[in-house]
Amino acid sequence: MIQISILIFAGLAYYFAVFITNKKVGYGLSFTFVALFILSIGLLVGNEYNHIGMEKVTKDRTVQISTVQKGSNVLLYKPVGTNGKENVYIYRTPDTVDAKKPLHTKADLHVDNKVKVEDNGSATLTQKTTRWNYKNGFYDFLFGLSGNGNDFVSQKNTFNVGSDWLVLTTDQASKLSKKMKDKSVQAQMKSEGEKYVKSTVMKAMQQNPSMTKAQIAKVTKQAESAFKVQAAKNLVKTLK
Amino acid sequence: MIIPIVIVVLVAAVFFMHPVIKTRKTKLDVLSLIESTLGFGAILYGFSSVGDDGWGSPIVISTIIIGLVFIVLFGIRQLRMDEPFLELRVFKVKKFSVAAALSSATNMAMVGVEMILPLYLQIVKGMSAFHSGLTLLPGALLIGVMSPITGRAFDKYGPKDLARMGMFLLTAGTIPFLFLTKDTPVLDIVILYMIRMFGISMVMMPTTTDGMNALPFDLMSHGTAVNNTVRQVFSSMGTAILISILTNVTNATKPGKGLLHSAPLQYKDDFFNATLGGYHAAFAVAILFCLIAFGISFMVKNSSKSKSIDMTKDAAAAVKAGDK
Repeated sequence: MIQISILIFAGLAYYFAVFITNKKVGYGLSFTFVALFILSIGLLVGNEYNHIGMEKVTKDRTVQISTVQKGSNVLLYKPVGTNGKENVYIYRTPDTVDAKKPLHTKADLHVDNKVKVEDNGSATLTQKTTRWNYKNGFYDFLFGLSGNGNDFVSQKNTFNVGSDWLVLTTDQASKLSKKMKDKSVQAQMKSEGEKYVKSTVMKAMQQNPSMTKAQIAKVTKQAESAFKVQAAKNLVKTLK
Repeated sequence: MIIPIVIVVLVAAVFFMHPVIKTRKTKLDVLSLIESTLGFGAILYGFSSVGDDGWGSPIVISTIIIGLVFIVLFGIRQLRMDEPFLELRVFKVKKFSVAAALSSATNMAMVGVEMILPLYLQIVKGMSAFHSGLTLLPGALLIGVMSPITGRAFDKYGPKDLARMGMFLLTAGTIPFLFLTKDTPVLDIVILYMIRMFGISMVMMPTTTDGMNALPFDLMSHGTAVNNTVRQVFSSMGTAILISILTNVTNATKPGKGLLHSAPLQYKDDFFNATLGGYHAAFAVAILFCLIAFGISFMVKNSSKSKSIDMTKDAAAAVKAGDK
């Protein structure tokens, strides 16, 4: 609306200044519209530069995340600069597990990414997005044509993952998969894995000698996955 | 792209332009040609180099001085010649001088921004060249739409109110550009540019006609030549100044290359802020041009001779007389 008013006031100011022969009346009317014109321009600039008539609104949403690479639970990030402060996180959600490209966080100066390690059974991403919104319908009517009613301000992303997740840079991830393909590493992991699983199962049986076959299988499986994660983490440490 | 249009215009001009005033053959004075080329060329070169070298550089200062010297020589020669290139005595007619000054200042304010605004649209807002042209289109169309209305207004009411209101709208429409950000809505830019063009449309044609009408009949062709020359020179200078300021300020406040590697998102933000600072500075100077034009517009007066209807009668009588 404000843009249209600007045009109308300018047109009327022009008309009254030029086309009215009685100059007192003409100039008087013209001046009024000149004043309104200046006011409108002031409001226009105020809205686009200082966000007059708008307020910051923060919306929360939480989504479940899945691993980026099948096999183990992996969350990737890519450092955008060399000082470590700017990162883009790469992840998947349950709907996009099989998509060609995974999702990633916005590469923007005002996007803050954090990872919290908490063993609460689920892996989620909580996004707090702050945007500019019009304070009420009046301001929307006045400035709405500008289309700035949903401008992005900032975003805080928090990834909540359990301790069985690997959080790696894309570099580390590719180096890790290379190492995993190495035959000697695979052999070593196999033998260490078997040892670990054996000792874990034995400990469990000592504590509870009457374990059923199903229970033993469960413990074995848990031990296997725990070892996998631990071994991967150790390998990552050796990558440096 | 322009070549076909130029060819069409040339051919059309040969066939469709009617001689309104009788023309005569004049000789080409080579020395004037050299002096004017060197003079205006040097000054233009000086103003264009400001962007790369800054105001204090020896190249800039020396070329501007050389240019001024040659222009003075040129001027003196014109005043002494029997059949000068540019009859500078037209400036003796006050109305004409005011008109020439006003149309030059207006042109400076118009052309400079016309050059810089698409740069902003394409570089800061990432628009394509096509879209940035589209943004300027409504304003340009507005001049076409307003021309007949302005013509009628000028015939009936004279140039005074048109000039002042026009220059006020031009200035008021340019001031918001001081506050450009990278999120400034495109619609706002379209509207403000339309306001500028609205203002310019009220001024260019009426003041030029008014100035021409004030000249005695035998000086009219010289008036056109002088008007066009002065307008061109000033608008080139204006554009050169605006672009140099834009480049200068942007380069002075750019972030260091090191930041590009350590924190590229920060670098991008800082870089945009530097370019925005450049645009703000350039538009500040554009506003200065507009204010100068606004000031000059107060020197435009209505008089009974401002009506172009008299002109046509004069011209008809003179052509008749010349044919005898």
